[in-house]
Amino acid sequence: MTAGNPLALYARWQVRDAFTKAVVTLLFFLVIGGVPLWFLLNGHPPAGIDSQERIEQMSRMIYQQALGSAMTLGALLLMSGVVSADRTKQHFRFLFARPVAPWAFYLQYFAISVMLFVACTTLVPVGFRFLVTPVPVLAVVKAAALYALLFGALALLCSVLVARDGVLLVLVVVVSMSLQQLAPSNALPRWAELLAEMLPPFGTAEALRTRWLTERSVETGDLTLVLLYALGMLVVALVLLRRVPLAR
Amino acid sequence: MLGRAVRAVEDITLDVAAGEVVGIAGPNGAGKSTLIAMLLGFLPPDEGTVRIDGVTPRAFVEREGIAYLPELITLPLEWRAIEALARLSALAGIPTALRAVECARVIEAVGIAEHADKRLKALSKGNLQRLGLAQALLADRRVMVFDEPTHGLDPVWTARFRDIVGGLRRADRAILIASHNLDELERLCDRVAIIDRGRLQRVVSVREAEGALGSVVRRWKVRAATGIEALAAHLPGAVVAGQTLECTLDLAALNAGLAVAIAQGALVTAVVPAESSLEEAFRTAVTR
Repeated sequence: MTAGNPLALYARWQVRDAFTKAVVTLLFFLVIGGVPLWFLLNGHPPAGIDSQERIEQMSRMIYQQALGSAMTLGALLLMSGVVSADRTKQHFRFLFARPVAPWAFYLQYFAISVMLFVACTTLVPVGFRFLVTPVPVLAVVKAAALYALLFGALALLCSVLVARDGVLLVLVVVVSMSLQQLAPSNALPRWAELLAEMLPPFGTAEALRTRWLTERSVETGDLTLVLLYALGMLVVALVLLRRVPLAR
Repeated sequence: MLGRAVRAVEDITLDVAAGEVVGIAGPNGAGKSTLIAMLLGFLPPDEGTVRIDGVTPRAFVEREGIAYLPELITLPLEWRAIEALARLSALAGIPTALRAVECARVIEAVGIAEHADKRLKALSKGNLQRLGLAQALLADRRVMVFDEPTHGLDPVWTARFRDIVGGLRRADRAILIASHNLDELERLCDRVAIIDRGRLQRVVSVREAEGALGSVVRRWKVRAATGIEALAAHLPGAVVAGQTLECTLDLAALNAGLAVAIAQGALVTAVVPAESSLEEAFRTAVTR
């Protein structure tokens, strides 16, 4: 029997596994933005929103906020628990007795997850454009890709490091976002400012997302920083996957 | 990360040659599963080396894979049996065109055709174990490792497993079986490594042990339809319980006593070792 490439052969199963998580962003958007948009567009606008132009403005604002929140939550979930679950539930004994390198297995899963996340998230502006009012689509593609890479790489790294990676992930994200929000106001001591700079640049990613969605130009330096940080976390996670034993 | 360090395995030197079936026996917590985790590259040794075909276990596994049946079948319970086999055959490198045929072959071999479409959470312990065996048989591997392979199997499938392993013997293949079941190891293996408290206590060559019975003093069980008293009189140290007696003798003394008693009218129905040579070796090697 001529053996095929195990990873290529397994890709369709990873697509299936990742799709369930990627599609959650759509659900988050519907839950967060769906209700206010439904009321707004079905004759129940808030007081003072009386013209069609104001309704469209308001619906765009709800869209941007809901999409931002849905994207953050969806990206957080995307890679959360991937390695830790395979370890704690002992799935690795079946997966990695086969001719497959764990780091390559999870790298492929990461790539598939990012692509599916971008594809699913892009359905939001496409649907919005069709049902409500025109909004930029390419901007969402870029923002979704950036979020999936940054949050996904951090989630993968946490998942490699600890069994309860969800707690660590939320902790890092909350601390990073809080410190990075406070840093520009000079309200933080020096050590906290340094910590804010060292933690993953979620503040910068958020600023990039906002500028893309509002069709403003972005700083190349900011984009490079976020991409390099995401790449760095991904590389560390993959190196650890090669070095840290699968069994604990 | 902050747990107490435990030395699960130490001072084990064991070579397994191609063509051999080697058993690993030991009580609970002896280090069998840790040893297997090291053989598959799931756990590196702190000291010493593990090599398969001259390379590290992980390098070997990533190069050609190992057929492995873990002690517990910890596949996701929401998967269906056929899905589990399809996924694992893909990871084994079985091309899509051959996958259905390969899955059907192993399903047939372990007799789970009627359960193929069921979710794993709906399978009994025995059927789950048979699925575990099926996934281990998916690809043609040079190294096979079975950890407690008959755990949860009924007697019919325990016997069937022996037939399957018998059929897997090949000159270029090494098979390792870790089990509590000494009878099973004795029937299947050429050699059995007995480990206890993480250390290799001894390696028993099963065939040689059976061949050396003549000179060894061991315990025997003798059953008779009539004449148990005559047997007891001619087998020194015999302890009688109903129509059965137990005595500790070498083969020559046993036969001499039996011959005299049979000549005096005793009707012997069975003479068997009270324990197998492996059981005897295990009992003396494991001190708890």
